Amino acid sequence: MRSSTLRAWSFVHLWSSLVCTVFLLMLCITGLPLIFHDEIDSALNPDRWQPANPGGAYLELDSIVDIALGRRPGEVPIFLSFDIDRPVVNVTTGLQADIDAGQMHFASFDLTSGDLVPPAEVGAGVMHFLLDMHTDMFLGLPGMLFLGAMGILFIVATITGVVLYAPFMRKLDFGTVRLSKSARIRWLDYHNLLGIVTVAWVLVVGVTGVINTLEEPIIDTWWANDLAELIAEHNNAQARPDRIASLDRAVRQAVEAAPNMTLQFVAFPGSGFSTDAHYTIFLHGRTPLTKRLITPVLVNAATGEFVGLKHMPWYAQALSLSRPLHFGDYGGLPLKVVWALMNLFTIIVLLSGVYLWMARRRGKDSAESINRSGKWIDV
Amino acid sequence: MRRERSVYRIFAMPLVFFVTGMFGLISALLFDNPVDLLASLVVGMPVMTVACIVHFRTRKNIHKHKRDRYQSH
Repeated sequence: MRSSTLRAWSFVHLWSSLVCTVFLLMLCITGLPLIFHDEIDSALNPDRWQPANPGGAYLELDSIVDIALGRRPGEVPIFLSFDIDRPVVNVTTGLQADIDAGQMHFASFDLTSGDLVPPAEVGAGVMHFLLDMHTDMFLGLPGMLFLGAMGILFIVATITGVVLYAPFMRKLDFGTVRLSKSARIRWLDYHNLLGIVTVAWVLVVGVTGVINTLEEPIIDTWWANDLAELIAEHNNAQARPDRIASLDRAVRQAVEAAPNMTLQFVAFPGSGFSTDAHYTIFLHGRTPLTKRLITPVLVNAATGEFVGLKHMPWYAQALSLSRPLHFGDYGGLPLKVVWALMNLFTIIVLLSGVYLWMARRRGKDSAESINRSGKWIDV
Repeated sequence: MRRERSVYRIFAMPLVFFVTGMFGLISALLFDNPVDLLASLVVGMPVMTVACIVHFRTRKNIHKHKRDRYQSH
């Protein structure tokens, strides 16, 4: 590699990494406890709730909705969702289906008995703070997009670092750490070694992190294009029916139309994710890979008949698949431990990079001061 | 003076880590347990290898340093 080319790669590596280092350090430090958020949440807020009939048959969804509405007279159902790790269904109700989110009422019910389930306090306090800091620094969409830009710089720094690895390691065996040399050389060796062995992980977590920062635009585009298209295609019966069809029948129709998928979420007629005349039933796959892929199914609310469905577009699929790869929460505790170690390695790489930059500047300054003092003496 | 290593030799080990790491990450996402555990080991391989390399290279360096000092006397 010619010296001018090397200088150009070094320049890009230096400034792309320096600009994003502070934010990457914040992301690594807040990300570390978030890797173990399940364990921390359950330790801070132990869930002592048990279903009334463990292992028992589930009630019909229509019965659950009736129970929920019985507790909230005069209200209508808006959304229905399910807890992942316990037989609990969450029912959102309100005075109207298109009411503001702040005026909606949310209640959880035992699927085996219909009893009210006390709200779980998971994600409260410190973990919630860390998640908000990690996601958008409390700045909403601008914060997310800014962190996405920092992620892109981090990816650039990683790729340029791989390119620069070759000239620095030309005379050294893989993994050499020259402990007998100066602190700067020692930390350069650690920086190169830890950086190159974690490059696969860093690139995967970096790229998926950038995709995650685009979550809101991706979801909005999906709603605005595909879901709106699905609704527009079948929105020939605008009026809300006086009496809506059985929810259980609607769900059965949706599952029949999309085999190998299971129920995740229901938007009732008139709600934000549906039309006045349809249920929108969101299904997800059953396998580890497809369970993150969602398919909305439109069901006629008056007759309970299947109307149409739309599979996720590629960009929404990329978002769904990038989440587990970023969080490292799909392989149990061993993978989480590996994620934490890689995270610590990345922190060392970032800090050693800053140290190397400062040490080089100090070296340059002292060389310049020697030159200057030499000139002064000459004069 | 040491002979310079070719780019292929420089990137041989990093490439092994990259491929095995990616294999572990993707296979765990595609399949379910017990592949997850295997994938954890595959992804974690760099961690173990770095620990071993640093340990042994450090020992080698210390021995070399002691030998140099002994020879200089």
